[in-house]
Amino acid sequence: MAIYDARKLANETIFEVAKLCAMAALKAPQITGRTEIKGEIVTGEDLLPIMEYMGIQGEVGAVAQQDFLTLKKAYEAGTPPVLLFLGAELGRSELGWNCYACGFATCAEFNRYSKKMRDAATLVSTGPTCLWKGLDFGIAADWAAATAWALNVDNRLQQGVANAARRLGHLQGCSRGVALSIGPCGDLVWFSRPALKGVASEEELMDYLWSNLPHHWMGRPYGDAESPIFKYADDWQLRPKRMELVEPSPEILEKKRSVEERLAALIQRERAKRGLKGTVPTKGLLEAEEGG
Amino acid sequence: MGAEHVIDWPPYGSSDRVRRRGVLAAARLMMNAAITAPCPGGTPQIEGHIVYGQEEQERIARKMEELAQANPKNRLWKNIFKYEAVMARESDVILFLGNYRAAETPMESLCGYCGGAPDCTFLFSRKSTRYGLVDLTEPTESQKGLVAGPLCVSAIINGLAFSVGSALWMANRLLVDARPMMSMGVAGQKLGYCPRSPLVVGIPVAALPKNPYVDIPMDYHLVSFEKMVDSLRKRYYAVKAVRWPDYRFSYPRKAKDSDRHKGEGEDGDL
Repeated sequence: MAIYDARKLANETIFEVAKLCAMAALKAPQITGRTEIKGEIVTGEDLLPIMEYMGIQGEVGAVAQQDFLTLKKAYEAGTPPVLLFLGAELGRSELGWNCYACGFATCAEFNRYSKKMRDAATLVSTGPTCLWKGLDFGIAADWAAATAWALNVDNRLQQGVANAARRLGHLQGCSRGVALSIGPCGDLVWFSRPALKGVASEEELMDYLWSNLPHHWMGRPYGDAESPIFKYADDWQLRPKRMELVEPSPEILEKKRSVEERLAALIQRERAKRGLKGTVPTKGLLEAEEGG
Repeated sequence: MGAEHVIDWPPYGSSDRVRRRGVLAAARLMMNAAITAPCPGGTPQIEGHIVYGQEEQERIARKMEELAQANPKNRLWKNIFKYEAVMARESDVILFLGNYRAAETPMESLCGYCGGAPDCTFLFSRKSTRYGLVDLTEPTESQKGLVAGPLCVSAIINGLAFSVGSALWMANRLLVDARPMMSMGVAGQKLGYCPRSPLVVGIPVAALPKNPYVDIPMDYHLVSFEKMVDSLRKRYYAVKAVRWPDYRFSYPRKAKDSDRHKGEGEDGDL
């Protein structure tokens, strides 16, 4: 007879789930039949550099911030998620389909342009992308996520986490990567995230809504020089205000510059540990995060 | 209360139509899976078509055969289109999935996957735009191609590919055969399925004793089951037309000295 801690065993099993997700990614049907799917499974202490990256980037980006907080909460609880990174080289086409989907009339033109971009890339190559091979890659990633779903573990496909990992040295030889964060075990981890409780004030969240969906709070669209006035408070009609286009403030620009410098230093440190050489640029590290 | 007989022969017979209705139900669930699949930012961007019927599938197959000539020097391209046109005819249902944002309202993630630079200039500079809005009503060079690119890669991979993946995964769970096909998607898009999408993937679906999408002989468009049956139809009646006496009062005698019937009695009994 033996009694086991079910929660502990369940969370330990997530590593096995990640392996099954990798199997599913490799089994997924392909359109071209020529896309080699590569992958890495990362957990435990090896998550720390990725978390550090997301934490720094999260100072100026909401998506990175929420991914960082979710990773951190799980890690500190002793139940870190298991990250399955999937990648593929999508910047070479041996198809000869000449379909124009990539913006080039022929695959040969695409390959020439792609080589030029790869040779010029200072950190990781990103594009261009053969879209049909890209579809193969996306189908594989979806099958991995669907497998985790079928095995009842909360999971999320994330681009930002994968971008961070690639810059830190993961998925070498791939022009595209995606991260599948699997676990920890619980009803909701990566959606309606408990880790975000208490993070933002009501005012911060209203600022977020106003800046992203301003039309919903705008007053009548025509009329005098004060139009359209903005419904920023209950007495908006008594103290009318309107929106204006402004340049990014020096404070925000300085904050972004500081973030880029610290990211560059982190990337340099981690890549050196892996024996990867090359100078890390400090500019251009902050791309807009893609939603998970 | 009732009873439904199901058998896959003859194609489009009443019992076969019962079988096809089951596949249509599966295709609708596959479409649900495509809609609920992960997508960037939860942004709606997927449209689909569920197509079935001999006339519709024949039209798709013929368009595929026409497109086989689009890359005249590429033999594999021709084979893909011609062989998969056979599959379009043999399928029970064809799903088309497209992404309607990939050209007109891209994700603007500044990811660089379209052109390599960490911004969206590669895409926007190759489209007709007005104040940052893409105007698809203005012609561009790429509209003459098979696919009017360039397209937002984030929309295609994180949007369309995940949807296609989920549709295929659902097919896997429902034990119906399905595979994603470029040829069928390009033909379907040209015929007007998923009308808002510049790039469409075709997913033929079938529930037949043999998966129609694997184990494909060479020159399949010439040696498909349909062609084999048709050649039998052509030959059989010609063979039947010659040499047969009136069956009502005669039966062919055995040849003398034939060693085929050793051990048999006069009437052929052992």
